[in-house]
Amino acid sequence: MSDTVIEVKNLTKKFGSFTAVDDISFSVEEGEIIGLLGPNGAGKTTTIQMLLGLITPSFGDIKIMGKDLKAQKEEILGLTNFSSSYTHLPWRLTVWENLYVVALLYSVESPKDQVARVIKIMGLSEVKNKTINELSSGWITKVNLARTFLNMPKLMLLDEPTASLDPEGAMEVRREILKFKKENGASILWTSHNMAEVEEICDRVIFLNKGKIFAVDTPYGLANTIKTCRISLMIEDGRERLKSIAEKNNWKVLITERFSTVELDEEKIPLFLNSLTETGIKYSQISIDKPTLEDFFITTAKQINE
Amino acid sequence: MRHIYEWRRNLDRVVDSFWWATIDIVFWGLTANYLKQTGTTNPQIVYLFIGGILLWVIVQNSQRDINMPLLNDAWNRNLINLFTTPIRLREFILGTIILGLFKLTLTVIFLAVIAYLLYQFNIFIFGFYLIPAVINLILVGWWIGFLINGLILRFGYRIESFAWAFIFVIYPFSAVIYPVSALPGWARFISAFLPTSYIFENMRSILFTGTFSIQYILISLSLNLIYIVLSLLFMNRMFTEALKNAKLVKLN
Repeated sequence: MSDTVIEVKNLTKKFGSFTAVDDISFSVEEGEIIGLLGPNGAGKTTTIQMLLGLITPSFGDIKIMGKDLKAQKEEILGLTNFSSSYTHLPWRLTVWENLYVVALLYSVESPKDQVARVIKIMGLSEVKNKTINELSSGWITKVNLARTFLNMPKLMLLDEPTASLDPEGAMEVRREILKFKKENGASILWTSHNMAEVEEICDRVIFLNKGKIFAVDTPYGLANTIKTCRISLMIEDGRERLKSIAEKNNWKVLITERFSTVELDEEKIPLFLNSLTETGIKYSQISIDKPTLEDFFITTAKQINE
Repeated sequence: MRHIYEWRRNLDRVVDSFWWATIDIVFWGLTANYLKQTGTTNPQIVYLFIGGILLWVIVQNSQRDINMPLLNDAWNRNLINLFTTPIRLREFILGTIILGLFKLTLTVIFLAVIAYLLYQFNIFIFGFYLIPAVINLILVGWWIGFLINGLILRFGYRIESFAWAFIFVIYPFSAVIYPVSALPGWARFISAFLPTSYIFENMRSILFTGTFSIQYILISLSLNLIYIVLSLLFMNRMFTEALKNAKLVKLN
């Protein structure tokens, strides 16, 4: 098997005069977790749907595990699985029935055993005989994810897989996905609006905007393109002095009852701290927040809108 | 398998399969009984009504059983889940056909028993003719079902009611109860292109004369085969277009 799991070349999708995905090329290597990010309407979902053969591209080539999607779609789909918070499962079927039907669709060997195994892994035993309409959205998300493990896929396409889970549930799901990935060497294409989640689990991030690839890097690399840090202080004496320091240096400042926050380039931090000492500003707490992927996302989205 | 699980728990679908057809049988049977009692019509009138309705149920249910799985998966927002598995369109259709035949068999047995208990109508009165008649009527249901599936893929939920209503476009021209000769000229022209009209003409012939026309069976079968091929090509084309225009995704 090829080491490159997904190879996309010049992928384009036009709907009439509107271009949803505009000549993008990227690859995903074996065992890699790639985050597909971008503002709403960036082309993330259309890209995933083209990778799944649900939408035919206008131009370009998609190769998955070395196979051409156009010619070997069913073969590829047998080695892939997909989960989205935005698709539903037949709600009159029980959890067990839903998983069993999916196992049959993937021609899984010993489908009943595999369903039992996945139910155990995902902690679904207590709800396995309940119909989907009896479950909370958190449970439904878990069932949706459980179905992606059934055929032991080599590639998982996960569209906001933890969207409706509480923090503990989301953490548990991420842990299971990472465990599955480690044990099976699966590659994952992951879309999410939870930047902390993407930072935590993705090896690389592809940032899409208006159908084009805007940036590709590690989450750390993308976050590092933002040079501005945020320093928050609990000022005991000298708020006005802090304001004049910030104004003099052209730094953004926000002063509230409890905290005062200054935004400045990372390299200016020593200068800022010196100024605090020189002007005798007294503070009881200080925190320095380095830029995160979320800062990159917000800053980039803002730039794009402007 | 998935639709069998669904069917067991969905009262609407069970009602579709049994309830309306039973109501038709009971209502029209009683009406025909009344006409017979008044002595204003042929004594075979009860069998004519019951036989016509029973055979029409085959067309209606086999068509609906082709359309309901697609609509069910769309309503359940399960189409994306389904078509991201290795399933092919032809396998999906084959599944709906097998399930449809199973459900149709249950429905027809149930109605035949009801008709026998209420009106002493024995479906085997048609003898050997029952086999080609049933096959042809199932084929009619299928090609109309494929046509409607194609239209649903093309136009989405806007035309979902076609799954229940469209079949009645051919109803008046199929001469289910009255003969083709009772139709006006323009309607007779339409009925000549409908496989159903030949089947129901034969049904009446068996009831009144005990004979049926092989030629009518062959015409019906030939028309059905042409329509099946055309409707499958149409549905396949619409599926391909739905993938191009993201209509399958939107239907979800």
